[in-house]
Amino acid sequence: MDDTRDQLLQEWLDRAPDSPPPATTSDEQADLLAYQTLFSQLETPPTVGLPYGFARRVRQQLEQRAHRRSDVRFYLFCVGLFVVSVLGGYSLLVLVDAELARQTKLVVIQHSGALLAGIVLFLGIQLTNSQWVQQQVNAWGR
Amino acid sequence: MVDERELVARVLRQDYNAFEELVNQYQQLVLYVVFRLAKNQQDREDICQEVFIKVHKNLHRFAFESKLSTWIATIAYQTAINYIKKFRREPVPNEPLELDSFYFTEETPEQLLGIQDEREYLHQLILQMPLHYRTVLTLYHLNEFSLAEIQGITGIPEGTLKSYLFRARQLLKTKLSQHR
Repeated sequence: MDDTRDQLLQEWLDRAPDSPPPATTSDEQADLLAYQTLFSQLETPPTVGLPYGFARRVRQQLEQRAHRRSDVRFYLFCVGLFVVSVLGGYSLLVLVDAELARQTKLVVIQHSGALLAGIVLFLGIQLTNSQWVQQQVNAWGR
Repeated sequence: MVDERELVARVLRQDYNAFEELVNQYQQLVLYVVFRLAKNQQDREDICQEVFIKVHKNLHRFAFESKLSTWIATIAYQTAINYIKKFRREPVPNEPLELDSFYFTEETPEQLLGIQDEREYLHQLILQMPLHYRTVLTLYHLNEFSLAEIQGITGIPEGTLKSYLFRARQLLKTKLSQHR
C-alpha cells in the first residue's frame, strides 16, 4: 500500500474534482478506478429499509404512553379526592357531633382492610378497562 | 420541503400528525446512521423506534443551533452505541491503536465462491470493521455529513475522523482489488 498515493487519490475524489486526476502511470490509474468504484458503492443506499407504516407505529406508541400518563394522573387525582373527602367529612362530623365522629372513626379503622380493598378494586377495574380499550384500538388500527 | 421550525413547533404543540410527518422525513437518515452500527435488522428497527421516541421527548431542548438532521443523527448515533454496549453485541473501541492494527482476515475459497455480488461483499467487509471505521464511512458517504458535522455527532476529533476515513477506505480498496 502506497500511503501518499492513496491519500492524493482519496483527497482528489473527496473534492469532487474539476482538476485532472493525480494518476499518470497505469498502476495509479488502476488505483484511481478502484477508488472511484469504491466511492460509488459506498454512496449506494442499502437495500433494506424500515417496515411500511413505521412512522404510524411510533406515533401510536407515543400516544399510548401519553394516555397511560394521563390515566395515572387521573387515578392519583381520584385517590386524592377520596382521601380529602373522607378527611373533610370527618372534620365536619367532629364539629357537628364529636361522639358520632369518634364512633365513625372506630368503624372505619375496624374496616380499613375492606376500604383499602375497595380502592384497589376500583383502580384495578379502571386499569384493566383502559388496557382492554387500548388493545381494541390497536387491533382496529392494524 | 417542510419548514423545520414550523414542524418542530407543531410537534411541541403535541400535534401527532406533525410528529408522524417528522418521522417520515427523517426515518431514512436514522436508518442509515444505524445501518452499519447494528448488524441485525430487528435491532435496527428497535433502535430507530427508540431514537424517535427520544427525539419527541427531547425536542423542546433543540435550540436550532445545528441542523435538525444533525441533532437527530447525534441521538441516533448515541442510541445505537448505547444499545450495542447494553446488549454487549460487540466491544466499542476507545483506543486508536486498536484500530491501527486492524486488518481483514483471509477468506477461505468456499467463502469466496459464495460471494456473488460485489456490493454485498463490500457490505460484509464493512461489517467486519471496527465500529469507528463503520461509523465514519457511513456518516460520510451514506448520510453525506461533513467531517465537522460527524465530529459534532460522534464527539471524535475531526483529525482522527479523517485518519479513520482514510485508513478504512484504503483497507477496503486493497481488499476489493484482491477480490477482483
